[in-house]
Amino acid sequence: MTHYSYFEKLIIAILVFSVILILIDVFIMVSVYIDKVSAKKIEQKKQSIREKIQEYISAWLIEDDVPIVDFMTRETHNYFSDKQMKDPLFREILYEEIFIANRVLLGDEQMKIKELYKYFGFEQKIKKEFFKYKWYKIVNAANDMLAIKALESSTRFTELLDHPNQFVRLIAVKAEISMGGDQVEILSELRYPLTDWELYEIINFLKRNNFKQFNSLEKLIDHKEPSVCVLGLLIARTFQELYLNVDFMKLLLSSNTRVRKYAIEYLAECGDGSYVQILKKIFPNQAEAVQKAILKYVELHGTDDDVPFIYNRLNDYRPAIQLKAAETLYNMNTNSSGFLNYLEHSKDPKNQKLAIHVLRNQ
Amino acid sequence: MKILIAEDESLLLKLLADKFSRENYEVIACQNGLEAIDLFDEKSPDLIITDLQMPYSGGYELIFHVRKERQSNIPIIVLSSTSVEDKIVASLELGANDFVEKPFRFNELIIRVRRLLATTGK
Repeated sequence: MTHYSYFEKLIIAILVFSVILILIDVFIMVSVYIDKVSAKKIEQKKQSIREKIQEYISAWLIEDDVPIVDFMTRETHNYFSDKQMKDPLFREILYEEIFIANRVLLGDEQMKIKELYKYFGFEQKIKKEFFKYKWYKIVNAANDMLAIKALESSTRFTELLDHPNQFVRLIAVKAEISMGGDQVEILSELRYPLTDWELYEIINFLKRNNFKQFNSLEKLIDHKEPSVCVLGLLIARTFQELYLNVDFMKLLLSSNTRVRKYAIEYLAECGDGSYVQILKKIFPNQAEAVQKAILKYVELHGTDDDVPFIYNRLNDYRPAIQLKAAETLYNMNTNSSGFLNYLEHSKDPKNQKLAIHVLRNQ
Repeated sequence: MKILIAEDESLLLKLLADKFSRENYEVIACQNGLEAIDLFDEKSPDLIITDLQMPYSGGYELIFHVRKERQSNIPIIVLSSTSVEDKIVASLELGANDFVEKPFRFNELIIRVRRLLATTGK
């Protein structure tokens, strides 16, 4: 029996270990290669499916007055076989493409896309997902339902207005708005505060869809939840709702800063000059954002009598207010811009700087 | 009549190309602004329909190239999903003749194309 010395045993162990390492390396390299090749193959397959599907969708949209069943069963169009439809990859791409087409088209073409949703059974699938528990599944399904305008499940959407997840609540709000009638009445039933992001999304949604029927705006503005009140004011301002039966004094004296700010901004754009005196009176105790809104209001509705009030604001300890006051002076529809010329030539270097800055940037 | 269509969404590009071909226009299709700039120089289209946001180079660059670098006044229609007023104004200021917001109606787009071509005497 051969006896190895300690040194020889060590060498053999190192050699065996090296061989094992090399084998592992080779295995990893082969796996990575196979993975890459198969990913490339899948990508090619996807691309080929996508092109074929696009061709058929395009052909379907261009066809005039042909029932979808006739179109799909034509020999030349018999691409959507049962075998194909059972392939998850094929169904996924088909769904994606139909969804994209639905997102970019309106009118007759969109109606034809809706027929595709029905024909391929996607509408049932979406409705099933809509009643799932996970929030992202609900949001996806609700988004799809909105896109294909399948909004029959109105009770479910109303329930979702109280969902703890804000994404779900937002999509429920959009769906409720889309259902027609008085499009904002449902918002007065919201119980959760709306975040800035939700406010932005709702306003954009209303704008994009050209919704204009706001009979319940007063109900929103009188809402006890400040964010709903802010939404009402924002809608009123965005859509220039000039005749509102709202107690604005109550809003101007609200304990909520944002309510005061948005109420003043609404009055500046859509109201008259009857609040100048009260706004000048409450000015000193306001937050900076509210003070800027007041200055904007005075800029649009003030007269020469209000110029000294603005002029005093040039001595405010905050540069943002000084600058806003100087801009207000410049933009006021009075002979107040003469004040800026005066400031420019005044001996106070701070006022000179302000005036020059405003003159250069207006 | 040649129409250059620049749109990165392949399905929409196919739909536009098929629809305008059926309306007897010769369609030159591409999926990004760089390609569109090359095709504009090479093929001299009679009208351009372009998206604003595309890979490599967008619709703004294409409009800039046509109006400022080539000094051409062929009609340009921007077809974009943006609802931001600034972007609409920016594209019109750069020299686009019209703006169609996605989602859109094909018939409306076709009428706008015909009208623009008619006003330029083509």
